[in-house]
Amino acid sequence: MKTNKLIDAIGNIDDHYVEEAHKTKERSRFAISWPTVRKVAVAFGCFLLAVTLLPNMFSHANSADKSDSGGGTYYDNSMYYEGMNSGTSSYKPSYDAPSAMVSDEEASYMAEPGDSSYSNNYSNTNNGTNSEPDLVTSDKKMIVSANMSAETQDLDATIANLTSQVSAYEGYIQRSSTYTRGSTRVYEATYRIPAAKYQAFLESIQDAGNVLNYFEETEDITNTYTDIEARLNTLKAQEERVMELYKQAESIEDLMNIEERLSDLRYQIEYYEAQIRNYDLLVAYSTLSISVSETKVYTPTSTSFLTRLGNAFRNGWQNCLDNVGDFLIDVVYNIWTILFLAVLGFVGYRVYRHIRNKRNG
Amino acid sequence: MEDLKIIELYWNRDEEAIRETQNKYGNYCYSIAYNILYNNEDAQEIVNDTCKATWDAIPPAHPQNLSTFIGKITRNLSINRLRYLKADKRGGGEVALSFDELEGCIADTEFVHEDQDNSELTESIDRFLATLKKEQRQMFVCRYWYFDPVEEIAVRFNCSDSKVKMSLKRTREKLKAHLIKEGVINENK
Repeated sequence: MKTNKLIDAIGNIDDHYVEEAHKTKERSRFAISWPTVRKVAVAFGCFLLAVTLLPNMFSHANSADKSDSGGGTYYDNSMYYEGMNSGTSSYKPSYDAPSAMVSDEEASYMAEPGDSSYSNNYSNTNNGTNSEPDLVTSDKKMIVSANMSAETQDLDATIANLTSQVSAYEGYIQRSSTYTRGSTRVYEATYRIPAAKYQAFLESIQDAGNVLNYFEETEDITNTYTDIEARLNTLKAQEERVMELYKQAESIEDLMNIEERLSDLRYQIEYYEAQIRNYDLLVAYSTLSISVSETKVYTPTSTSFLTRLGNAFRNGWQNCLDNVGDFLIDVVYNIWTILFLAVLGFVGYRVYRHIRNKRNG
Repeated sequence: MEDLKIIELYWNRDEEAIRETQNKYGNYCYSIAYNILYNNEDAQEIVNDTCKATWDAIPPAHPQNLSTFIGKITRNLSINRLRYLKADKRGGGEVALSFDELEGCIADTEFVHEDQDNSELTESIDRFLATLKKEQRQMFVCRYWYFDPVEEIAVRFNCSDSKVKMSLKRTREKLKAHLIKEGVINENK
């Protein structure tokens, strides 16, 4: 009863107050809902955070997958050589193969496919004897090329070590580059090492870092090489005979015909000699394409599930710290833009508040 | 059409006035009625009744503000309809919540003169509203005159629901203190 009386009394209040309250309804159609704006801003912030962090997470996961994709086997340096000796390792394609390596492979494919035989060095050359054929002095013509990916905790020291070893074994650096992938520094290079010293060189760089992946390919070009040599000898014999005919020629017409033939022969001889030189170079120097990335924690080398789980947890934490670090760096990188937008937003908000308060009296 | 012309049509007893009122204030009246009755058909019926009541009221009335005049008629008709429908057993809806809030405000009090005219109480409330800040007053009127939901008021004033509730609670307490001070109500001992 009392409430009804009060409600009725409120119903008869001054028109001015009713009109004043009614204006807020009209205004509300155009009003910005700040709670909604806050929610949208938070959602947008989360989106930005996810966009910043997720690619890093996935890139790390992918690199882990790549490391694990060759049958789930991880190698430290000792396992790596042990694997080579025991012949237990399986084929593992290198994901980080530099383009220079591809071009070398293409060069080696100049040989006729039927004459080439590709083999994995782990299963081909190692039966516990560790006997290394002398690729230069033996009759066999073999081109050895390899890919290696590794990681290190001190990239500069590793680069210095590798470079000095290349010089010590009388090799040379065909190509090298250092760049940053995300927050990780990466060194990529292609080394040419005298074939006779290649195995010794490999052993000398076993301390360069934690080897994740190693793939070696040996191409036997003996048949191709022999064929080219035979053709070259035939052409040279023909050249000698044509030279003799040239000396005996009596008419100008004969001389011109013989010269034309001689020119053809010399062109073919030069072509085959160039091929021989190219093959000699490829056989004499083995090619190692190496990719070394800098890391704080080495990729686990054990295949035990629990160990891998523990390492994944530990590495995940490190990855989390890295991602947060990257995010902070991104924030600092964009700090002026953020500050500018913040000031703009603040001024806009104050203006809006001022107008609203003025309208409300 | 301007309000003055509509009022003139009423005074001239031109039925065009009803159509114009429907066109201009139909939605406004409907929103007030629906806030109270929470029923589409009832609210629609109240809008029609409002037009008829306005036709009866003008003349002799000559309202300064037609929208408020019509709004008050709608509100009174809606509350009467609600009382009739529910026989004081109020159901859901914002009006029920508003009733409860006001009931809580004056629960432990009684009117000094039970048979006192409502106009004295209204004048006291008018004086009370004049002392409030504009935003507080608008919230109070939105809630207890228009029976708007708290959530809607919060959006309109760009604040949280809890801030609206807190503001309304303080205003009710101030109202109670004001009515006691002016001798309109007494606290039960």
